[in-house]
Amino acid sequence: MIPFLIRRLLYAVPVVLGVAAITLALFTFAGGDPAAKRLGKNPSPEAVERMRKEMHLDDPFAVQYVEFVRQIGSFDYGDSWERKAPVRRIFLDGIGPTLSVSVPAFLLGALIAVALALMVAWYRGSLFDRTMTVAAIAGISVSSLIYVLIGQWLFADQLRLFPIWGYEYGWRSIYFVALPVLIWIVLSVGTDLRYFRTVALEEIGRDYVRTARSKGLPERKVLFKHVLRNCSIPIITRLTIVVPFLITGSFLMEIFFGIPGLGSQLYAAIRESDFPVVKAFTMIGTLLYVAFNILADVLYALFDPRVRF
Amino acid sequence: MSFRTVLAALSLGLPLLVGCSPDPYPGEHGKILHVSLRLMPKSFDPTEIEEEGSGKCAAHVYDGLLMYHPFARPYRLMPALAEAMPEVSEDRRTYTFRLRKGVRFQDDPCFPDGKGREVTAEDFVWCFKRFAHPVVNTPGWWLFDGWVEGLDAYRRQVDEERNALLAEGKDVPELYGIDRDVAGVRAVDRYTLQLRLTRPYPQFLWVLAMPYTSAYPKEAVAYYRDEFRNHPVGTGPFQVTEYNPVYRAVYRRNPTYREDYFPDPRDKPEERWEGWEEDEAEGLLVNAGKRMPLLDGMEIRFILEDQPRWLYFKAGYSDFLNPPKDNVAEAIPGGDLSDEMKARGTRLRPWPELGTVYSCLNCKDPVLANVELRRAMALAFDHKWTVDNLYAGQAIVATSLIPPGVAGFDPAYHPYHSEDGRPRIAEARRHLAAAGYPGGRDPATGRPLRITLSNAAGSKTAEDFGIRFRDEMKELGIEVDIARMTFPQLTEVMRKADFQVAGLAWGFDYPDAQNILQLLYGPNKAPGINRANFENAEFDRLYEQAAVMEDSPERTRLYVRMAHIVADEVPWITRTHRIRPNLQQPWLTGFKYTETSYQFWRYSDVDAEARGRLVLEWNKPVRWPLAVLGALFAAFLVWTLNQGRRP
Repeated sequence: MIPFLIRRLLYAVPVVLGVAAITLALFTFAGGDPAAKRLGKNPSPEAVERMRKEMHLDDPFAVQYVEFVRQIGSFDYGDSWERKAPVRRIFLDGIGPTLSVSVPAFLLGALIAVALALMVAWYRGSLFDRTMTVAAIAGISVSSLIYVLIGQWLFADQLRLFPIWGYEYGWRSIYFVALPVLIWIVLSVGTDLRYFRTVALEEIGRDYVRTARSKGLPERKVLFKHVLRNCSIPIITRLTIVVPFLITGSFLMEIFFGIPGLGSQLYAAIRESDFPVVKAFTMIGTLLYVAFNILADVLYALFDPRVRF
Repeated sequence: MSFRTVLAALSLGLPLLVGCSPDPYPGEHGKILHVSLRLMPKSFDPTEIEEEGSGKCAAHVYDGLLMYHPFARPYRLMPALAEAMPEVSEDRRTYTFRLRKGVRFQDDPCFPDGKGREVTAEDFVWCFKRFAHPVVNTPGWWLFDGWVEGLDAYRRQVDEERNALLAEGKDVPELYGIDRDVAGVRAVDRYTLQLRLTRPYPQFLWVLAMPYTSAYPKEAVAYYRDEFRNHPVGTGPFQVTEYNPVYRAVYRRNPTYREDYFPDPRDKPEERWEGWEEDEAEGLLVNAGKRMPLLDGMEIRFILEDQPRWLYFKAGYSDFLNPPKDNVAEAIPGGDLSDEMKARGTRLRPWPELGTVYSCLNCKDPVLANVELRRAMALAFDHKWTVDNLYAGQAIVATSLIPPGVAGFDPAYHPYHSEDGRPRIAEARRHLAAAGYPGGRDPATGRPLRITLSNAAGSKTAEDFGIRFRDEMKELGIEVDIARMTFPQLTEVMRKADFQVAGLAWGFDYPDAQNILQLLYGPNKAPGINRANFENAEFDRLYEQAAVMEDSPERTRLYVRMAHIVADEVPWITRTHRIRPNLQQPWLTGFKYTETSYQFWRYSDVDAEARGRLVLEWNKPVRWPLAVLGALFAAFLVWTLNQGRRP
């Protein structure tokens, strides 16, 4: 296991360095001049030059790249150009609200998707199975923006069951995150249901299930004890890969529902060409993605005794 | 109980678990103004307040020497921290301000005992010098550059010395040299501030009403350092108690706010303004004569997306709103309030924006240097379509670059616009032929003339305009390529004069035509603010002549002539002057909307009792559809699961 981990970590290094180079190149060569933007309507060339220097935009690309890699290594991404606050603090400010939406949505969504997948697999070919499959495909086909727009309009405006927009810290956050969580679940269940159904169907057709049934085990026990356990590897893999996206948050949900999380922070940073924040968030997303991919491999081995590295 | 029954019961019960009250601020006490902004503020530091979001958030915390009168139109200034309007010297170069006595900074931990101290003339001097300090690098410097005696020299010297010290590896304080004297900014005594200009600057008082030179304590800058931009300390009627730049700013009434009263034109004739009777008839002056502020606090939410911002207003959770373009037809179909809005008591107060939307044609470009081509393009524009479709009717055709409400506005002269805003294609084709491109073809290549429109990506209005522009030019046989770019990219190509056509808009910093005419003054060409790189000897001469003149019929005549030159030479195709259809809830009073200055918010008041009652009435939850949905789903589950499974 240890050599495997070391190998995977070493493979991750060029990936991270490559993403860093592409990210920096995009901002440096294609992003326009953020210095002039910061100086308003009518900046003098001298003021722009001063600002460029202050923002280190006049440093050669190689120097900027080395500095960026140093920042990635030290987890110190410097200060936001726009807010003049450390990027680390902006990240920490946003993580709580983001997780308050994404974690319940993820857990409830996974639970519902797994439960439904087992049911539709168990009742495969029935009206229930067909209806759920059609609903899942229809659900996947619609843009997530439509869910957000209609969900907000219907449940918050027309039925007035939830706040339209807003957030409070502490227990009252439940009240504000309920609708975004519900919409997130609806958004994720369709895709997960189809995937988990396929996995479950594969397991249900195996010999051990037939054996379990023929020795008289109750159906519930067959489903939840034997089938679910053997489905766990692909389910865990899929769910693990989703985790980095929970941390980086959702633009749409946060902007439309007023959740002051990382999605909102990133959105604001993009609008204001606040490159330190955008670069940091991009790299944090990359690092999380790489880390959770490695974790998924490790979990594979832990859950499936057949898997050896 | 079977598994299926449990599932069915759960699906039936779920809707009952969800669905509480939609009120985003239950149990709120006091009179709070609720605002939803489509922007996030960048900074509360007065030296950095350049854009609308920051301006709207900071205006209630700070006061400067002067401020805009909240109701007078045409706009006029009135004293804020100054006791009266300044004494101006004979040569119009020295302004002497007597300050109000006893005005205190807001209580804040930045003061040794947490209690705000008195504001003096020295505070203004210090704020002026910080504004000009090279390290601050304020976006507002262009408004003062070269005007105040000694300020430029101070800025330059401090910069040079600081750089030299840094080059030597010395430790230099951030605001190095701020204690140095500046001849043109002087505290004569504790309550007298004298500002001396290098030459007459007729717009100077308007500039002083902008946030850049507001009063704030140096203790706050020292205490909060970079974080001062998030921890404002001023002398205004409200203090910020909570601020999250991506969510909201919460304010409470400043208990030490100076003695300030709502204007009272009924009892005090000296406080009257043109049209005060109409304001009174509209119910704007119900609080006349009362001590300010009237509100207990404010809460500004940064709701960037149109749908939630509109729904928020409709539900009564924000007190006023300029409806998003897509909701204008719902709110004000045909220009008048909808029946639903009328029944709710909503008021409509349209406000013509002091600004102009235009297409900037780069006169330095070898193709667009041809004036006949520019005229042909202007004649092919369908301004009526723009007003109806891009602004949902909430704009007027801009036949002049100077908008209504500003001296120099002359809508009658428009040689390359039609009266109704529709294109004049036949005439445009004649000008195109005169330009040397008959039928839109370039005789050198025999192919259609190609022009590139540099367009800011991410704005639906800009995208729609680009498509329409392409179609309009096609009518003339000209092909248009659209180059989509971010705003910083667009700024960069314009600074390098490396573009042909760009869609732009200018919002006035102060209600004086000079503010927009400077954008076409020859010496301001790229990399300066004259993005069109327009050069016209007569225009430049008139601009220089008018630049030192006070407001007068003679100066207005010069402005009109300059506008006519622009109309003839077409460095810009002036498109529209936007109108903000401001909607106000029935419980809001004293709110005469404008975006020229934001300090007028402090004159507003809300009837909290009426708001509480109406909001409750408008937002009664409707639970039955969810119960029906749950029941249907439960029935579906029971029925389908009872069908059994395939063996």
